Amino acid sequence: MNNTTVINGAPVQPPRSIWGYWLAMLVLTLGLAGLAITGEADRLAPGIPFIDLLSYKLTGYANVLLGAATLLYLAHLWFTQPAVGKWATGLATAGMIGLLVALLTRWFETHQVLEEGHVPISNLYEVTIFFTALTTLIYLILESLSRNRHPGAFVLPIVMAGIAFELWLVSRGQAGPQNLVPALKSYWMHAHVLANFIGYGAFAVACGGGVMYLVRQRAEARGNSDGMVMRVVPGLGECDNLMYRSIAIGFITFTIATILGAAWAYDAWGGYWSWDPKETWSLIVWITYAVYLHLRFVKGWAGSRMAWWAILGFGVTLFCFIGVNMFLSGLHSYGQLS
Amino acid sequence: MSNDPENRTPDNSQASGIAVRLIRFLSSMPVAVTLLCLVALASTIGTVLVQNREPDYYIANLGPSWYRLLDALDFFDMYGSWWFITIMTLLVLSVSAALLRHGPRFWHVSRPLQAMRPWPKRSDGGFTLATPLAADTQAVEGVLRRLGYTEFRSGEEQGRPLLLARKGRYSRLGFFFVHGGVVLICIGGLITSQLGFRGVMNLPEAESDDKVYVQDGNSYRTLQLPFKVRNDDFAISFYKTGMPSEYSSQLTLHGEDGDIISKRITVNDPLRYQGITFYQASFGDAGSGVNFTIHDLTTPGFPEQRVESAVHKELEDGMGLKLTIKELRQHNVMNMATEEGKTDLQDAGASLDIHLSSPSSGNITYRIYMAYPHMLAFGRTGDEEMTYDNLGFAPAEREKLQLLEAYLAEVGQLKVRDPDSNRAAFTQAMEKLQLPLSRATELGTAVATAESALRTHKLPMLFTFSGYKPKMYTGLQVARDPGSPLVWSACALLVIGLYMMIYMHEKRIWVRFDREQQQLEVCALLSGKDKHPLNTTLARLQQELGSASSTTG
Repeated sequence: MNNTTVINGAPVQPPRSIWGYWLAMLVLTLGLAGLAITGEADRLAPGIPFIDLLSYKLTGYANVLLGAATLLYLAHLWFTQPAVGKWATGLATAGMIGLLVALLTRWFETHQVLEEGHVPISNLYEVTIFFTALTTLIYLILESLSRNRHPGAFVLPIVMAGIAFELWLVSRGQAGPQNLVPALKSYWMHAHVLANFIGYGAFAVACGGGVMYLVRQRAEARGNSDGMVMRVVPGLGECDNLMYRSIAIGFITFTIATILGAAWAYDAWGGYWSWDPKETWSLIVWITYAVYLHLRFVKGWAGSRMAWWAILGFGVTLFCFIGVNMFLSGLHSYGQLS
Repeated sequence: MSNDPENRTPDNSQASGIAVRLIRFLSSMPVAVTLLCLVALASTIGTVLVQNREPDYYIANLGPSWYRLLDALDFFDMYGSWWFITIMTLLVLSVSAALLRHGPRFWHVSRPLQAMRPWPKRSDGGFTLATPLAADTQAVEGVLRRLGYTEFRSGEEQGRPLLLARKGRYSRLGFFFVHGGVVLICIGGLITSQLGFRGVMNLPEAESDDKVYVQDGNSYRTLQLPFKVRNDDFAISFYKTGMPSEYSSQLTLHGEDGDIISKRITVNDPLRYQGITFYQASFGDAGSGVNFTIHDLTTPGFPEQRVESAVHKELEDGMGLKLTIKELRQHNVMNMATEEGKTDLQDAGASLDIHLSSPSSGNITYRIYMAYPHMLAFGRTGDEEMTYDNLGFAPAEREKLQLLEAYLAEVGQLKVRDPDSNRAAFTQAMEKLQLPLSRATELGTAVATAESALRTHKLPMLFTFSGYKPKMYTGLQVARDPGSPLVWSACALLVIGLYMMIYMHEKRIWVRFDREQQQLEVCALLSGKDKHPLNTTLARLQQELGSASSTTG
């Protein structure tokens, strides 16, 4: 009995289960967070500067790991030995877990340092860390499904850009834990922000897929069949598929996030929709990807047009994530730079 | 859509009535995509251009001609403008038209599997597998059942048995859920905007009211509630930084015959009664009582005047001088750390802002601190920040204030100012007030500091803040939102439908049993444009068939 399956003339590998692996990673993350918190428990006092917090240092180490992973993913384009890719994946996984451990630690720290602790996804610095962690996580999950490590070279640079923004926020003195305004004190926040950032992360991965598609397409147009890109960058179909699958995940979670936000606003501000800039921009993001899905489902659009759509769509997403807080004023102003 | 007759639409291709053509046009992809993009673009404008401000704000920022043009096009209340509502209505019509147009076909394929269908001419994928199962239709059906296929038809083709299996019969309903959900959300919003309201109500403590102020463009109208609302108690707590940490109000709804319902509301926990919801939105000063003393430096004798008044009150002397009591702050948290980068937050206590406007000295806003009476803090109109200085003594110390006046009079006569003549002037002032020279050092420092501060800042008055009695109002957002149950149900539909549309597919699999060659031929059709999920489906099927044959064979 041969194990490779040939469908439509092409070999297809049966899907493999990734649940066990990611469950183990979750347990590892929680275990490490437990260790970090116990290690820090009796050291903290109110008013301690944020650079002395363990979470801040952990974030730094995790960022270094992700930087190394990015370099390895890029190197993997030229050095195609499987070991390079495996190390890249390993470092990225370690960095991602490091960021999640840092955030969990910070959750504990806010309870020690501030008068009232809260989940650390409440200011621009914290959510930027969350964004880099989730983008890496979503990419790694898709990578573990497709077993192709080359797209990392197109997704991890977006994570690096996120880290650069995060460091800029640190240099502006925006990294310390802050007290919550009364409107933010709600259980809706956990679900709303989590869903939102799964959405943002997925759209970031889709953007990486779009860039990868365009790179591959240009290489194919040049007709050089044994160039670097042709050897390592996945085929156009696979790039398109990476884009579609990320946008599908992102669109559903982003829809849920927006609904959760509306439910929250209904409890806090007295109306589920106020045309506040953040709300309006999330509608614009939603429409952008709704149009993407229509063009793909109904018109059967694929190819470079859709790749550009995924890239520009992420631009719109970024404006919703960061731009609104930096340039526009509204009810979501607590995310603003001070 | 596939070329398979099972999926062929019982559509209206023969009909050509105007309604049908309109539905086709509205639901066409170019129209739908254009409308979606228009909504997105128009919404952008509303986020860049601040909405619903007073006309002066726009005229100051944009100039009068731009203001007139944009105002004529309703750009300042954009989301309520006729043209934005029109685009939204067209979008809802387009989605509804899509439901009408594609609905029948999707409903048609959601029926149970009809008769056996022949091997399709063109499939989305398939494979051939050599296996002893080729003789065992029951075993193959068992494998498919294990993979979730529920509907089966069997037949024969050129003497060979043929099996058709289907799963995901209802997956097309996702289309109805998503598009129906969007239409229902918009209808819910429309119901709310037509039958509901959203207004504000500022209730001072221990007071009752039944009037809600509803914003209408940039003006307000009042609305009468069928019962009265009483603010029994307003409470607020602060962080050490001085930022509000939580505020809440004990509200009681009452009618003619007594209290109906009572609840303490906080920012994320409103009171709902008979479809009307009361949200804790803000708070403010409802005219707290304040006591302060005015020390008039422009009148000989520097007379004192005690004032008992309230925040927001204005005092006039009939000669153009006007005092406005602007703001009472109960806490002033400041960073008292001496080292840079460190924080040492301390509460400087209560302060009162008093605005002084007079023809001779212009506009000055004083901030007087109860705990620091000798501190000068003020800002002149146009100043970005407050100026802080030290008067050297509290103006309520009459003796020092009189000495200051006497010293200023002496100093005013001097032609040349130098340390010696200053000292002589001070001694003369001391003698005039018959103060013992033994106190010269103590008094001299205070008076010299004050003289220098007043010479620099030219303040016509000083104030002493002596007491306050806070009176707060609670800012309530009052809303009636009859559309919300529909909106929430539609949201649930939307999410379920999205999941179905993206991850659930109608799959049909044909298996042809070739007994002579000992092989199975398999082909499959998948609904929708995205054929990718079929690969994994077929790979799993092949794997299952392989392991099934090894156990039976």
